[in-house]
Amino acid sequence: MNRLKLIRERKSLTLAQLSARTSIPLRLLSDYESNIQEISPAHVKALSKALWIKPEELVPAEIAAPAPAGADGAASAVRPPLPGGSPAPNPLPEAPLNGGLPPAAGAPAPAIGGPAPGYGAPRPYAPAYGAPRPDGLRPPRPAGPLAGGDLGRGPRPPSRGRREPVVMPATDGQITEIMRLAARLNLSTEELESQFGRGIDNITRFDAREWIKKLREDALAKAPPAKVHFGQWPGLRDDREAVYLAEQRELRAPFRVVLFNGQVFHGRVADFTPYTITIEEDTPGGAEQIVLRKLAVAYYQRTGTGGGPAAAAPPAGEAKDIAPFAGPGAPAFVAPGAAPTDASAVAEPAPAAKAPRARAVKAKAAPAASDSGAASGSEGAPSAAAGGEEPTV
Amino acid sequence: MSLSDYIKFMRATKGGVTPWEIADATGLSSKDVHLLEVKHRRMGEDDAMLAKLAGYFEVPVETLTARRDNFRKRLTAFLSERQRTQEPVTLTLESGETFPGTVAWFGREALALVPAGGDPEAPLVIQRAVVAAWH
Repeated sequence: MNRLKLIRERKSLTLAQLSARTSIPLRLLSDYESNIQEISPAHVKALSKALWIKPEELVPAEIAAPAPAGADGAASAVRPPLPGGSPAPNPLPEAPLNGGLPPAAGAPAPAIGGPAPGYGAPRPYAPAYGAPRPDGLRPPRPAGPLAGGDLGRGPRPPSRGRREPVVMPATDGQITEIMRLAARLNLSTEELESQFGRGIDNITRFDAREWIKKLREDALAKAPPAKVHFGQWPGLRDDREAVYLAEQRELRAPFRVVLFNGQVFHGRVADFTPYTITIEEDTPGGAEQIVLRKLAVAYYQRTGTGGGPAAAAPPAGEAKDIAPFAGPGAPAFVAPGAAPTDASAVAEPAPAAKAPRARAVKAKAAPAASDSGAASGSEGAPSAAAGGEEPTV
Repeated sequence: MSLSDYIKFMRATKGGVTPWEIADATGLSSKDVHLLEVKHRRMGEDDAMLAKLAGYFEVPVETLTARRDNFRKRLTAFLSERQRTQEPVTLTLESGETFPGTVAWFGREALALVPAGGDPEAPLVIQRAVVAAWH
C-alpha cells in the first residue's frame, strides 16, 4: 500500500493540484490512492518530487519491492486474479479504523486472508464507550521521517527573527522623470544631488517619489503650463479683463474708452460686469455714470494714475468718430425695438461726426437687444452682450 | 472680427434678432445659426448658408466668407505664442486703426497690448471682436 493519499492530505493538496504539479492524470492518481494500480517508478519519482518527500516514504520498501512469494502465495503483494475474472480483492492491509496511521515499514502486518471478524463480533480496536482505551491496542506511531507530521522535512530551522523592510531602488521611469524635470528646471545632476543631499544612483523608490513631487511643484511655479482654456465662464480668476478692471476700479484710475463707432468717453471705472463697463464721468452737474456694453466698446486705456481727478473733460478734438465698418458693407446700429435699417443705410458708412452726449449714450445702448436665448453658448463669447440681456446664471 | 463675432454683431445691428427669428426668415436651422455664432473653431463652410445669412443681413456675402479664416482659436493661438515670445505684434481693428505693441495678457474677450515705448502699467485693452487682422 502506498501512502499517497495520506501524504497528499497532510500536504493539504487536492488531487487536482497534485495532478497539475505532476502532470499525472487525475484518474490515475485516484487509482493510485485507491491502490487499484501500483504507482509506476516514473510516477513515484515525480510524486515524491512534487510532494517534497523521498520515494521510499511514498512507497515503503516492502511494497515497492515485491516480497518473495510464499509457498501458497498468501504473502505476495499482488494476489493473482481469481479464476472467475473478478477483480482481485485489495491485497494490502486496511488502515486502522481509529484513524491512526498504518503500520510503518517493518511493522508486522496482519495476515492476509486470516479470519475476518464476524458480524456482531467486537472490533479489535473499539473500546466500550467511555472506557479507557487499552494501551496495547493503540497502533504504534510510525517511526522515522514521518514522525512529528513533518514528512521528512526535518526540524524547523531557527527563526530569522523580524524581517527587515525591503528597500526597493528607484525605477527607470522615476529616474527618467527626475532627469526630465531637472532639465526643465535647468538643474545639473550635481545641483540636483546637492539639493536633495543624496546621489541619484542610490535613491529608493520612495525617495524618487518625493523628488518627483518636489520637482514638479518647482517646475509648475517656475513655468506655468501655457495651456489656453476655452469656454471659461466670465468672472472667474482666469478672466484677465475682469481682473484688470477690478484693479482699476479700486485705483479709481481715469480711462479713455473708444466705442465701436468711434465715440469716445472719459471717466473712471465705477463698475463692470462680464458684459458691461460702467464709467463715471465728472460733469458740471456732478458725476454721471454711463453703462457701456462691451460689444460696443472697441478699446480702452488708462490715461492717468489712480486717486486723482478723473479725466472727465476730454481734450478738444479728442472725441472722434470712427466708422466701425468702412466700406460698402458697413452696417449701422439700430436702436432696440426700432425697425431694421434699409439697405441704403447699411451700405453707407456711419456718420463721421462728433458724437454728442445724447448720441453717445444711445450708441452704447444700441447693440442692446432683447435676445437672451443667445446666451446659451457654452464656449462662445457672452452672447448676452449681443442680446443686451445679462444671463441669469 | 471672426465670423462668429460678426454674426453676433449683425444680430445686434438688426435690433437683436434671435437665431429663431433668423431661422424662420431664412429657412436655416436655428441650431446651425447658433453654432455658427458660439463656436471658436473655423465655421461657415456651407456657402449656401452664408449666402442666405448675407441676404438676411443685407450685406455682401463676401463680408461673411472673408471672415471664415479669422476664427477665434486662430487669434488665441497667435496671442498665446506672441505673449510667450514677447515678439511685437501689429493689430488692425475693424475701424482701420493699427496698433503695434507687445501682448501683455489676453483673455476670452479682450487682450492687453503694451504699445511700443508705452507704460506697461497702462496697456491698451482691445476687445477681441474688433480685431480684423493681426501679424
